[in-house]
Amino acid sequence: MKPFLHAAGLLFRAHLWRTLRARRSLVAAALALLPVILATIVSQVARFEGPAPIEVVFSIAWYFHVQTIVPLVALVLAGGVVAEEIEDRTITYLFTRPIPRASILLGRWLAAAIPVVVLLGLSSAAVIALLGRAGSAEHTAEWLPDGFRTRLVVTVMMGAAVYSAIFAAAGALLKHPILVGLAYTFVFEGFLGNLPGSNQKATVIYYLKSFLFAKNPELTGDLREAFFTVSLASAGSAVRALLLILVIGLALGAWRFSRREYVLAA
Amino acid sequence: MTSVLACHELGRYYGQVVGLNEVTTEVQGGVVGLVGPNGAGKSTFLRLIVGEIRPSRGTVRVLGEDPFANRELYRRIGFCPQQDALYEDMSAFEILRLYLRLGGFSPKDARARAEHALARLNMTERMHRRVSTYSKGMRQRVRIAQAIAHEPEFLVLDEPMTGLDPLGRREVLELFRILGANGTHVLFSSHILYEVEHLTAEIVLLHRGRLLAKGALPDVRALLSRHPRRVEIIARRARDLARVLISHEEVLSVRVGTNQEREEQLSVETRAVGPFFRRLNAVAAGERFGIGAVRSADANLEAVFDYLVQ
Amino acid sequence: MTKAEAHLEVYRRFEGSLREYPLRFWPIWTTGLRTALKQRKALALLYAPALIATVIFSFIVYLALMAQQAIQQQNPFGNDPNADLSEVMVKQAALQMVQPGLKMLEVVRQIVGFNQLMGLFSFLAVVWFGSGLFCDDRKAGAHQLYFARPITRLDYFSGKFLIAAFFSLLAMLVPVLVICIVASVTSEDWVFVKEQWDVFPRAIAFSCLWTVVIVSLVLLCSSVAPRRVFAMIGAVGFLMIGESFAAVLGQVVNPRFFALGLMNSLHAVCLDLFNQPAEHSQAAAGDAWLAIGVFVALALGVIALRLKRLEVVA
Repeated sequence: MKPFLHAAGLLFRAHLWRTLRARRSLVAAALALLPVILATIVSQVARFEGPAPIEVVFSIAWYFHVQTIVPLVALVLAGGVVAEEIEDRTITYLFTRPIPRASILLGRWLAAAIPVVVLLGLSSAAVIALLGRAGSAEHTAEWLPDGFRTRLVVTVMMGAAVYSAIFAAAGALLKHPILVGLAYTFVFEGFLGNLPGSNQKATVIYYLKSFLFAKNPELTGDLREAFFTVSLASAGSAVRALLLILVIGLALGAWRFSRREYVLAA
Repeated sequence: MTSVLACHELGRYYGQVVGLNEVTTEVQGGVVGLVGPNGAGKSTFLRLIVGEIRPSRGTVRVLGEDPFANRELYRRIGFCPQQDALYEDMSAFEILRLYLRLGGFSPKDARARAEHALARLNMTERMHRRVSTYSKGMRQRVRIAQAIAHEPEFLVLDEPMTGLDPLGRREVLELFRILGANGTHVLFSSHILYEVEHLTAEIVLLHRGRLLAKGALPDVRALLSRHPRRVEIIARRARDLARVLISHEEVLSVRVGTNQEREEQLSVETRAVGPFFRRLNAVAAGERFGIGAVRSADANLEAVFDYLVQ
Repeated sequence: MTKAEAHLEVYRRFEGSLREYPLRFWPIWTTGLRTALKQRKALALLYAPALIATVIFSFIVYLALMAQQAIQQQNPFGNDPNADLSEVMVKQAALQMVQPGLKMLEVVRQIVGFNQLMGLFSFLAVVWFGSGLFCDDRKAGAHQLYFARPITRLDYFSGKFLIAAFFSLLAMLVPVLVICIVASVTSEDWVFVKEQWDVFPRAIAFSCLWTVVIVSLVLLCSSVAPRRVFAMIGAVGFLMIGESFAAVLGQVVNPRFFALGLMNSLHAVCLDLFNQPAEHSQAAAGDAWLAIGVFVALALGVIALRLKRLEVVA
C-alpha cells in the first residue's frame, strides 16, 4: 500500500502544477466563471426588490451550474487524465517505472479533481452570494435558508468530485471517453435524470438533489420537474451513494488500467 | 547463468498484420545491436521485451522474469522508446527527478542522479529549460538520460541515434561502449549499420517479423556459404595478377576494373577466404604485382544485411 | 582527391509558367471526404436516425396528401340533390373538424418539424466529422505541408469547410428534398409543385444557413482547441451554455435575450423563412437573424485569425 500511495502522491504533486499551468485550466476557469457572470447580469439588470426569486436561483445555481457547468468542467480537466498520457505517448515512461499502474490513475485524477472541486465550489459560493444580495432584511428571511446555501456549495463540490472520477475512469475503460462523457452528461444525466420514474435513481443528479433538498424538501416544489421527481433519498444515503459511485468508478478504472495494454502509434 | 533475454516462439499480431512471428532466441548479455529494415518488427520486439505489450503467442523472459507490468523488473531495466514524447512544460531535470523518485530514490539521490545522467549526455547547461524549447537532438538526449539515470542492469533503446548529429551519435555510442564495459547489458536498434558494427559484433537481425540471423557478425557471415566472399585488390599489374589467381581452385571469379581513383582493381570472388588469403600472400611474395591495398568487400554488416534481406 | 562535379545537363531550369488551377480547394475537399467516409460505424450511427425520420416524415406527408385529396373529392351533397339535409350537415361538420388536423400535417409544417428534429443529429454529425479538421492538422504539423503547396488560406479553409458542410447537408437538405419530392409526386396533377414551388428554395436556403452556422461553430472550436476532443467539448458546451444563458436572461431580463441561444435563433429563422406563425418560437425573427449574423461573422473572423497564425506558430 505504501508504494502505491507514495507513487500516487508523487504523480499528484507533479501533475497538479502541470494542470494549474495548462491552457485547459484557463478554459475550466472560464467555464466556472460563466454562472458568476450570469448571476451578476441577472442581479444587476433584473432589479429584484430583494434577493433573486427562487426559480431564478434554481435556474442558475442548479440547472445551469450543477447540470451543465459542473460536468463540463470535470470533463475538461479530468476527462483526459489517462487519455492524454496515451495520446501524447508519455505513458511508456510511467509504465516502465517500478510503480503500480493504478497509482498513475489515482495520482493524475487527484491532480485534476482537486482544482475542479475548489474552482466550482468558489464559483457556486459566488453565485449564491450575488443572487442573495438582499434589498431589505425582511426579504432575506424569506429567501433560501443559510443551511441550504451551504449545502448547495457542498453539493456542487461533491458533484465535481464524482463526475471527475467517472470521467477519469471512462478514460481508462473506454476508447472514446470524451464522447461517452458528453453523451453521459447530456443524454443520460440531463435527459433520463429528469424523466419520471425510478430511472432517476441511476443518475448522479438524483443523489445530489437528495443531499441538497434533504433538510428542505419544501423547496422541491420550485423545481421545474417537481411533478416528476420520485421521492428523494436521505442526505446520509445520498452521500454514501455518491462515495460508492466515486470509489467504484475509480476502482474499476484502476483495475482496467492495470491490465490493459496500450498499443501506441509510432 | 540466466540469459538476459530469452524468447520462445514469440509472436505478436496487430489484427491481420504480423508484427513478430515465431522468434526464438536468447541473448546472454553484453552490447547487442538489433537491426532490420523498416517494418521488420524491431519496435514490436523491444516493446515486448519491456512489457509495454503482451505477446500474442509464445513467451518472453527478461532477466528470468515476465516483463509485462512487472514492477520489480523495472528497477533493473531502462527503456528509451522511439517516440519523441516528453512532458513539454517540464524541464529535463524535473522529468528525470520525477522518474527517479518514482523509482524509489530519495529526493537528494534523485537530484544527484538526474544531474549526473544529464551531464553524461551533455545536457547540464540546458537541463532547467522547458522541453518545448529543445531541439530534436536534445530531446533524444533527455530520453536516453531517463533510461540510464537509475543505472539499470539491462538497457533497451529503440533507435537511440535518431535526431542526433554525428558528434552526438559518437558520444552516445561511446556511452554505450562504456556502459557495456562496466557490465550493463545493452540492446539497441538502429538503421545506421556501420555504427552498430563499430560498437558491437553481436547482432540480431529481423526481417518481416522473423528472426533472420543472430550472433557475432563474422560467424553470421561465415554461415552465408552460398554467397561467395568478395575481395578487392588494388594493384599496378592487376591483369597479370588476375591471370595468376584465376588458375587456383578457391577462386571462383575475377573481374578487372578501375576504382574512383582510376586505379586498376581486381574484384575476386572466393568460397574459402582463409586459403585464398594464404594463396595471395604466396603469390605476392613470389612476384611483384604492385599490390597497393586488399579489402574484404562484404564482411561488413551492410553486406550481410543485403544478402539476408534480399 | 576526387574533384567536385556538376551535372547541368540533367537539371533543367523551369522556363514555362504554372497553370492556374482554379479549384485548389477541390483536392482538399475530396481527399478529406474520402477519408471521413471510411468511418462506416460512425456514419451508420449518426445517419440512421435521419434515414428513419425521412421515411416517417415522407410517409406522413404521403398520407396527409392522400387524405386531403380524398376529402376534396367528397361532395357533401353527394350525387343526390334530394339527400337528407341532416346527413349533409354532419358530413360538412366532419370535414370541418378534420381540416385543422390536415393543416397540421401540411408539408411545410412537416419540414419545419423535421428541421427541428434533425438539427441535433446534423450537429452531432458535424461535430464528429468536423472537430478535427484544423486541430488535427496543427497537431500533426500537416498544415506545414499544405502551405508548402501553392494554395491560399482561403483554399485551405474552403476545402475544410466543404468537408464539414457535406455532412450537415446530408442530414438536413437531402431528407428535406426527399420529403418535397414525395409531396410533389403524391399530389395530384403536380399541385404541390405548381402551388408551393417556393418550398424547394426555402428548404435549400434554410439548410444552407443551418450548415453555415453549425459548421462555423465547429470549425471555430477546431481552430482554437489543441486537440479534437477539446474541440468537441467546446462545440457541445458552447451550444448548451448558450441555450442556458439565453433561457435565463430571456426569462428574467428581457425576452430578446432568447435569441442568444443558437438553436432558438435557428428555429425562429426557420419559422420566418417558411412563413410559419412565430408563436412556438421563443426568439423574435429579427433578433434571431441579427444574432446568427453576428455569430457567423465573429466565428469566421476568429477562424481567419487562427489560420493566419498557423504558419507562424508551427
